[in-house]
Amino acid sequence: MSDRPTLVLGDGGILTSLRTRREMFKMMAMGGVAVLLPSMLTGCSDDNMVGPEGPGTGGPLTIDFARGDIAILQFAYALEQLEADFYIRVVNSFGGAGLSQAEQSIMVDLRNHEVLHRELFKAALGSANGFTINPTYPGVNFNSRQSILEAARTFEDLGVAAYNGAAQYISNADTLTLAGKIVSVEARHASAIRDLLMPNTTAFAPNAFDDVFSPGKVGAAAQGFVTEELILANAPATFVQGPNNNG
Amino acid sequence: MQQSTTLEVLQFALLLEYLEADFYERGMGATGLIPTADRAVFGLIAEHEAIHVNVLRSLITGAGATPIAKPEFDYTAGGALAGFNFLPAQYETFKALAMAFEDTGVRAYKGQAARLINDKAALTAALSIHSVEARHAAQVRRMRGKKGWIVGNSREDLPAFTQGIYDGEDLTTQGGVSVPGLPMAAMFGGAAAAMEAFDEPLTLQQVTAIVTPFLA
Repeated sequence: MSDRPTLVLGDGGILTSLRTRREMFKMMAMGGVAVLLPSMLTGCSDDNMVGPEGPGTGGPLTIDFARGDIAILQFAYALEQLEADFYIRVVNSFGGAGLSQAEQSIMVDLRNHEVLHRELFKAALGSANGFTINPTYPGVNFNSRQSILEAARTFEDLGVAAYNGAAQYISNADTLTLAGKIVSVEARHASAIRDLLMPNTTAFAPNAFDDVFSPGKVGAAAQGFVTEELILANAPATFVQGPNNNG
Repeated sequence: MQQSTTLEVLQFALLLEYLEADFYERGMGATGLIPTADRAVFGLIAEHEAIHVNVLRSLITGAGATPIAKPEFDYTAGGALAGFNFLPAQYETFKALAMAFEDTGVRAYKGQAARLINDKAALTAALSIHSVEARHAAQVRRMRGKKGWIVGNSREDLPAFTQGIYDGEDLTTQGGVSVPGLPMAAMFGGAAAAMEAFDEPLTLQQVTAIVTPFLA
């Protein structure tokens, strides 16, 4: 009994380290015991208890651009899942993050908008074409206002550039307009987040033209926050650059 | 066919950009109008709109047409804002007009996107302006103490003659789906959030009706 390995976890937060979790499960499988202090019980409710270690290590998740507009919707769905999950976590971390009441109100709005975007794509794609991603946030500290806002800026700017770049591959006019309805709201978000980081400066709109990113460039950026390996199959060979010529 | 559609869209966009560029240029040039603390923001927007004008003119010229001439503008909107002339005490009106123009610009570009579906270069350029107008809109709205996104079909505290800028923004059906009826919608803001989460397009005719009072 006494020779079983024992791991003492005193802080629930340590369970957010996947490596530690994995070690714990491995050890328990070997007949070990973990000493669970009361503070970690909330950590155990984490719905991502078992998962890949980091970005791109799980999956794979294939989006096949040969499928036309469905692939664009899937691409958008993946990004909206990521954004929605991010803001849900932000709102759930309000206690320790030091966001002002006004900032918290903005975060709740953003969470709601992104969840509704996600749910619309989910409904549009149906079970046959839908999927669930498992986000991961390396380097993001949900107890830090600065870290939250910087991550939000990354996601919103990426969302804008992604929709702006995917639009050229949409063949259905109504789908193109729908993308337009969403991208301007993402841009409004980006503006607000940027202004929270650097109030009343030129930060809210860094260029006269927003970035227009190819699916490949967006996928590579998003991969850093998605545990599944993202595979863009049959990605379009041609890409029309935007005025910034950096897609 | 696509060429003439593209040109119509670009000329229409140029009219809006002329309006915005002229408005902010006059604002930045008016002594005592824009407080020092806000000049960085409006200076940037002024710069962006001037660049948009130049790029649209180049695209039109490149397509073998002649850009429309810059019209004269009447910022009292035919007397609805009687006395407005970029005077030092009129900063609140200036910001209100900025919000009106930016929210209009977002909806105007959005309404033309699908007409450019067969001209990927024009579509991409237009979209890269469209989202910048949305950034401007959010910034100006927030400087006025409003949310960065449009709430329902509310014109907020803008005068009644601007209501056309916001009509239809309270749509809750997207892609044939009732957004408030989606699973989880009730827990995440319901119909109100559904209206905020999607900006709506305006047709060329609707935008023309909004802009016409500002043409001298």
